[in-house]
Amino acid sequence: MRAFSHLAVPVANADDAVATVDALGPHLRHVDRITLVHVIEKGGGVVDKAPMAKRRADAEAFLAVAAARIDGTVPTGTRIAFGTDVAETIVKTAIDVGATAVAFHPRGGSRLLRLLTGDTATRLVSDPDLPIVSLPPTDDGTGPDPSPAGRREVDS
Amino acid sequence: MSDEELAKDLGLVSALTIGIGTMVGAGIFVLPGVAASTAGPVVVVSFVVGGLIALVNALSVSELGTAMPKAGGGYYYVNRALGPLFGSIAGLGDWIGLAFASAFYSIGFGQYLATLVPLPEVLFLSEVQVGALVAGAVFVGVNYVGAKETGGVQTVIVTLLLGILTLFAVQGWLSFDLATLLGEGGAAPFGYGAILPGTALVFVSFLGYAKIATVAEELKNPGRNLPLAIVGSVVIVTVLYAVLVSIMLGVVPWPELSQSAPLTQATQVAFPGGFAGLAVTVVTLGALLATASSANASILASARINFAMGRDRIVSNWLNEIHPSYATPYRSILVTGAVIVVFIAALGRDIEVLAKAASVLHLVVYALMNVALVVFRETDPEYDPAFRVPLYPLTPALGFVLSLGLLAFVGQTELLLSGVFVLVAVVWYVVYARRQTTRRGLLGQYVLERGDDLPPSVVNAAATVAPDGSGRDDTPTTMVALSNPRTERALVTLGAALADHDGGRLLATHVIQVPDQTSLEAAAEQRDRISRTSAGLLEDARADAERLGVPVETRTVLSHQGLAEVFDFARDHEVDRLVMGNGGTRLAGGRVEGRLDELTHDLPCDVLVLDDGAFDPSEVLVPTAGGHSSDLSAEVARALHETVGARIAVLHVADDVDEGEAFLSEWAADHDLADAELIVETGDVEAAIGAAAESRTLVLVGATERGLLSRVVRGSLRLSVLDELDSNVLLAERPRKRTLRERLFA
Repeated sequence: MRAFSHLAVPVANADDAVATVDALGPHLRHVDRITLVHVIEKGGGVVDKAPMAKRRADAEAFLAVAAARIDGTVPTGTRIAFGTDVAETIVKTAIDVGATAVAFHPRGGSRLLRLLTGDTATRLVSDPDLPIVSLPPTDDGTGPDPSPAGRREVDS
Repeated sequence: MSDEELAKDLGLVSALTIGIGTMVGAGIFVLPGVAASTAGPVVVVSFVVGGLIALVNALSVSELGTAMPKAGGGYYYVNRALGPLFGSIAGLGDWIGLAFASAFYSIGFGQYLATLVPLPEVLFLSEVQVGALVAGAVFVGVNYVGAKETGGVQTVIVTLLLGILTLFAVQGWLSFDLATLLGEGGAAPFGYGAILPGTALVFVSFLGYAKIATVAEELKNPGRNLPLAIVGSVVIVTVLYAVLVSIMLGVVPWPELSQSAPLTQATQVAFPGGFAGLAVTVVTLGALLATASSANASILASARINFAMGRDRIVSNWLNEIHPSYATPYRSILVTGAVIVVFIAALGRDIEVLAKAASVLHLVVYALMNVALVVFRETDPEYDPAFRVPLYPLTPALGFVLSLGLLAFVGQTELLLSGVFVLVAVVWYVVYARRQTTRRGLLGQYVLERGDDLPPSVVNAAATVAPDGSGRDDTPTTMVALSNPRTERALVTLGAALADHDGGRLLATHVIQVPDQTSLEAAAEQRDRISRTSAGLLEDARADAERLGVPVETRTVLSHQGLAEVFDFARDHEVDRLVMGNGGTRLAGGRVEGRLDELTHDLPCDVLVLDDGAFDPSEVLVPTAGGHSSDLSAEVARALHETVGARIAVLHVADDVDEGEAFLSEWAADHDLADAELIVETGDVEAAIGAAAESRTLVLVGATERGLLSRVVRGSLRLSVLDELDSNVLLAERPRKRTLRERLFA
C-alpha cells in the first residue's frame, strides 16, 4: 500500500474547504480515497461556545462543499468528529477510518489569531502518529473543478 | 465511545456547577445589602420563598427539558406548544431578561471592582458603571473569541467559590450574634408584608437553573442528569442563601449592611484584625469570579436562545452565523453585548431596576412554560418526558400562579419596562416573524382541528395569530433538479418557461450523490459518470436559462439519500415548483418503501416529472377528468401556451358526449383554457389518449389520485399507454394542502 492511498483531510470552514481541495487538486490522481474530517471542538465539561445543532449543521455544509469540489474524482467519505483537542482528534479520526496519511492546508493567520484559536497546524505536525502532509496553496486558485457550484453552496 | 457520545460531554457535576455558578454570584455577593434595607432580617424568608417558587418552576423545566433536550430551553418549549406568538414573547423575554441579568451581574462586578481599584467617573457614568462597562465588554470579548476553556475550569471556579463561602460561613458563625440579626426592630421592621416584595427583588438570584435546560443537548444522560442538576442546584443555592444571608445579618446589623459590597463588609467585621485584609481580598476576588461566571453563562445561554429562534425564523438566521476562526456565534454575542452595554449605561445607577426587570421577564417565560407543559401533556401523543412533575396538574398550575403572582410585588417601573419588551415581542411577531415562521403551535393546531367543538371566537383568535410564512417568498422559485446532461436542456427549458410565466426565478441544481465510503465499487462507477457530466452541467443550465431571459441561480446538492434530500432542499429554499427528469426520481432507488411513501405523500411543492428525451411543447395534449392535480396540469399548459406558444388540446373521455362536452367546456373555462382545442371522446380511456397523442408532441398528465409520483418512482405505474406513446409525457402532481377552511369545515 502506498503511503498516500487514503488521505484524511481536515476541513475547518467553508473557505478552508475550497482552499484545501484546491491545494489538494494537483495531487488527487495519486490518491485512491479521501475521508474529509471536520472536528467540532468540545469543552469536555463546560458549555460549548456555540449551539451544538448549529455546529453540526455547519459541519455538514463544510464537508459538502469540499466533497462537491472533489466531485467524485476520488471516492470520498466524510466524518464529523468531536474532541477537546482539534489536532489530536484529526489524527485519531484518521487512524479510525484507516487513513494512511493526513493532508491539510494551513490556514495561516496572524500570530495573535493562531494564539487565540489554538494553532492547530503547529500541533498537528508536532509528534504525529501518522504521516502529515502540509499542502502548499495553489497560485491560480483553481481546483479540479472550478465550476461555481461548490462555492455557491457556501452561502445557502 | 461513539462520536455521538463525545458530543455530549456535560456530566451531572458540570451541569450542577453551571446552575450553581450562575446563581451564587447574585444572591450572596450583590443583593443582601439592598434586599435587607427594604425588608429587614425577614429578607432571609424572602430568599427561601424565592427558592420555593424557583423549585416549582424547576420541576416543570426539568420535565420539558427531558422531553425535548434542545438548545433554547424555555423559548423552545413555549414556541412548540403555544405557537410563535407566545414563542416570540418567550424568546425575546428570555433573551432580554438574560441581558438585564448580565447587566446586573456586571454592575455587581463593578461594585466589587471599585473596592479594589480606583475607577474614574466618566460623563454621566458612575465609577461602578464604568467598571461594569469594562467588565461587560470583557465578558462579551471573551465569548466572541471563545476562550479555550476545559471542563475543569467551571468546576474549579465553583469549588473555589463554595470554599470561600464556607470559610466565611464558619468564621461568620463564630461572630454571629442573634441580637445583631434581630436588631432593634425585630425580625420584620417593615412588617411581614415586606417578605414578598423582598422576594421580587432577590428572585434574580435564582435565574441560573433554567440555563441548564438551554444546554440540554450537550448533557450526558439528560433524562437523569437534567432534573437532578436543575432541582439540585435550586435546592443547594436556596440553602446557601438562607444560611449565608442569616450569618451576614448576624454579623453586621441590617441597616448598616453595605448596599454595594455586603460580603466584603461582613468579612471585614467577622475576621480577626490580622486576617481581615487577606480575607477581604479573597472574598472580593471571589465576588469578581462569581459575578463574571454568572454574566458569562448568561451570554452563552442568550446565544442559544437566538439560535433556537433563528431556526424557527422568528429572528433572522443571520444572527447565528458561526465565526470562521473562533467558532463562536459572534453576531449573536455582539448584539447581546450591545444590549447589555446600553442597559448598564442607561439603568446601571439603580441595580434594583436591572434585577427586577430580569426577574419579571423570566417570570413571564416561566409562566408560559408551565402552560406549555400542560399543552404538551394534553395534546401531544408523542410527548414522552423521562422525568414527570409530581402532582400534575397541580405543579404546573402552581408554577403559573406563583410566577405571575410574584409580578404583583415587583413595582411599577420594572413592570412597565418589561411590558415594553413584551409589547415589542408582539409587534415583532405581527410585523416580521408571523410572515417568516411556518411552524404552528400545538395549541393552535388543537384549537383549529376542533373548530366545531369550540366557541367561534376561540377558533378565530387562533386563526388570526397563526403564522402564515407569507413574507418568506418574494419571487416564485422554480427549481430544476438536474442529474443528467442529456436532459438538462429539456428540463431547463421547461423550468424557464414556467418561471418566465410567473415572473419568477429559476434555481438550477445539480444533484450529486456523494459516494458512500462503504461501497467503493459503486463510487468508482459513479466517478466516471460525475466527472464527465458535472463540469459543464450547471454552466449549460445557466446559459440556457439566461438565453430564455429568466433569472437563474445554480446550486449543487450533495445527497446521501437522493430524493429525500432534493425535497428537503426544495423545502429549505421555499421552492414553489420542482421540475425533474424521470432519472431524478430514480435517486430514490433502493430506499425502504415506507420511507418513500412518506416522501411522495409529502411533496414539498408542485412536482413536474418529464420523461427522458427532448422537450417539444409545440402541440400539447392535456387529458383531464377534473380533480386536484389537473388544476396544475392546466396551469402548466397555460404557461406553455403563453410563453412558448404551445398549442393546447384538452381531452376528456366521457360515457356520454353531451355530458362530456358540458363538463369540458366548463372545466376549460374555469382553467382559462377556453381557447384551447376541446376534444371529447367516449370509450376506452387509454385508447382515446393514445389516439389523441399521436399528433401531439407532449402529453401533460395531472396526477388524479395521490401517489402517482410514488408509483412512477417505484416503476409500478402501468399506464401502458404512457409508455408506448411517441410523444413526451409530463407528469404533474400537486401536494394536497389542507387549508384553514378545510381544517375547519372538512
